[in-house]
Amino acid sequence: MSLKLPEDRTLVIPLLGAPGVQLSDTTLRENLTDWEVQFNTIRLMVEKFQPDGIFPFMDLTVEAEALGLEIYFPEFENPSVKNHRVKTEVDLKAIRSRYKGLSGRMPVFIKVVENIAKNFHIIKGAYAIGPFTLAGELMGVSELCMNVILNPGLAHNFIEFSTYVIKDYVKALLDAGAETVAILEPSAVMLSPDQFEEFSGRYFSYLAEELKAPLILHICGNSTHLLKKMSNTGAAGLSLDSPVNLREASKIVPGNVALIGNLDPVRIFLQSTPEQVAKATMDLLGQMEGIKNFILSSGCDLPIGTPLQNIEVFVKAGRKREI
Amino acid sequence: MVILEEISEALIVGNAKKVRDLVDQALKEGANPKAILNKALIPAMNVVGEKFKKCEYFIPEVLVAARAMNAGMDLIKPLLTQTGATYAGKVGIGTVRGDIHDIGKNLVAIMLEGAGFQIIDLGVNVTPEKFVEVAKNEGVDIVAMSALLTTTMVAMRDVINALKEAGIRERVKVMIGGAPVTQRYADEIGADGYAPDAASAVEKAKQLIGRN
Repeated sequence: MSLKLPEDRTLVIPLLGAPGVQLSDTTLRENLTDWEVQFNTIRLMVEKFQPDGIFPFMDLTVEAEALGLEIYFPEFENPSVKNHRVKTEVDLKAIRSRYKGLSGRMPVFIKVVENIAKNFHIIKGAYAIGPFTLAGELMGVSELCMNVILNPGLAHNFIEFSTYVIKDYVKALLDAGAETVAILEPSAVMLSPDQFEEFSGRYFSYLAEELKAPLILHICGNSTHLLKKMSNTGAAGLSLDSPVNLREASKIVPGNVALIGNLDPVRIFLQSTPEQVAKATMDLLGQMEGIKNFILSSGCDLPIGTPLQNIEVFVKAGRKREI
Repeated sequence: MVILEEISEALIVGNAKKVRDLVDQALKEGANPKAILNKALIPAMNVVGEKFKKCEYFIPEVLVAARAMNAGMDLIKPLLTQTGATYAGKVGIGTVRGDIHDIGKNLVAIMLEGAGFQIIDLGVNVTPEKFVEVAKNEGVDIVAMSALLTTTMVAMRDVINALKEAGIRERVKVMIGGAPVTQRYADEIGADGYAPDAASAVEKAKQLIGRN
């Protein structure tokens, strides 16, 4: 399934989230644990920045936490998985038998999406972790990478279970009103194209087919070597990070797959002046001239300290232009 | 020696068991541990680094090769210390505060160790205070920092400032690396060296020590 894009203009959808705490005077942790706090922050951001689409806060620990993994959860920074102790088939079996479906903070994000769907008339998105990345959180990403070669059967069992957990969660997010779900698969950037296809891409394809929804595939870092395989997953859109040359990517990615990106979240959004942000935005738009499947966005989630003015300037600069 | 070539070949394809067995055999046959290191393990790991640069290898292959290297090093390391081999230099290495991604850091540590450096691995999410402490008390020649995230990369500057405040910035060289890090960023924050990958990190470390 593909995303419906307007013919006459480029959509502007920065990956908002953490910077919003400046508007709602809340902590990151409060937003990630309380749906009312998060939805209020999102509402303030939508009102202030007027983007063409909105996603909840990005949080790569929601699914791992639902599986009972211990999370390091500071007040003002992103949480992370503390340790990776699920190593063997026996460990996996124990996790599998304990898993009871939606749990942990999944309901927080489902509720946020429900409210986004009810209240806004822009594109409504949601996030879920990718199967390879979740398997890496269980086993440890180094071990998972090594098992891709040394014990592919074990790697597949972990990834397959992760896919099953993700499917439940994505289904709930879609039922809550998300029109698209971006699958966040940062760890896959380490794989070769063939490894990606076997250990990540085909599980993504399974999700897209089973859920019959337009899913976006997001991989952080330089995913240029994976673009062809990523395009073949059935993804409705590819959300690409700032090291990827989007113009070059558009030669590889077919026109029915949205190309989403990719202004540098740190060097541009966080560390540049509003004038520099405007220039970088115009430069990217110029570079992507005539490419109809392009959605203007940030390369990745915006950091918490991003100056709000930079986000405003980005959306404004993005709007100035018509295809 | 034919066996050194076999060790190299086994390492390049990541066969840890074969590397261990062959190193063991070579030692029993009287091979010099230093020769095994310098003529088999290090050149093989350099080949792996080259293949990575050329996109013939990706992270999984490199990790499996590094594991094979470790299997050989485990047998050789005690012998090297016994023979009183001197270190090329001492490196305190870790990922910066807020960053728990250690694959790159681990690869650099393995390569540096293979190249004869003594490694103090500080692990992940290392605070500036910890970097300073190790620089002060352990007499390291190089402080090496890694970050995968653009958001955590900024902590590198804090470490350099903390070294300055502690009055020991001139005593150590600072090396940085990681996916979002560039030479430009290194210059900007006043780091002494940047390396884009693990193999280049070894060259950079040698170069920095030479300047000391």
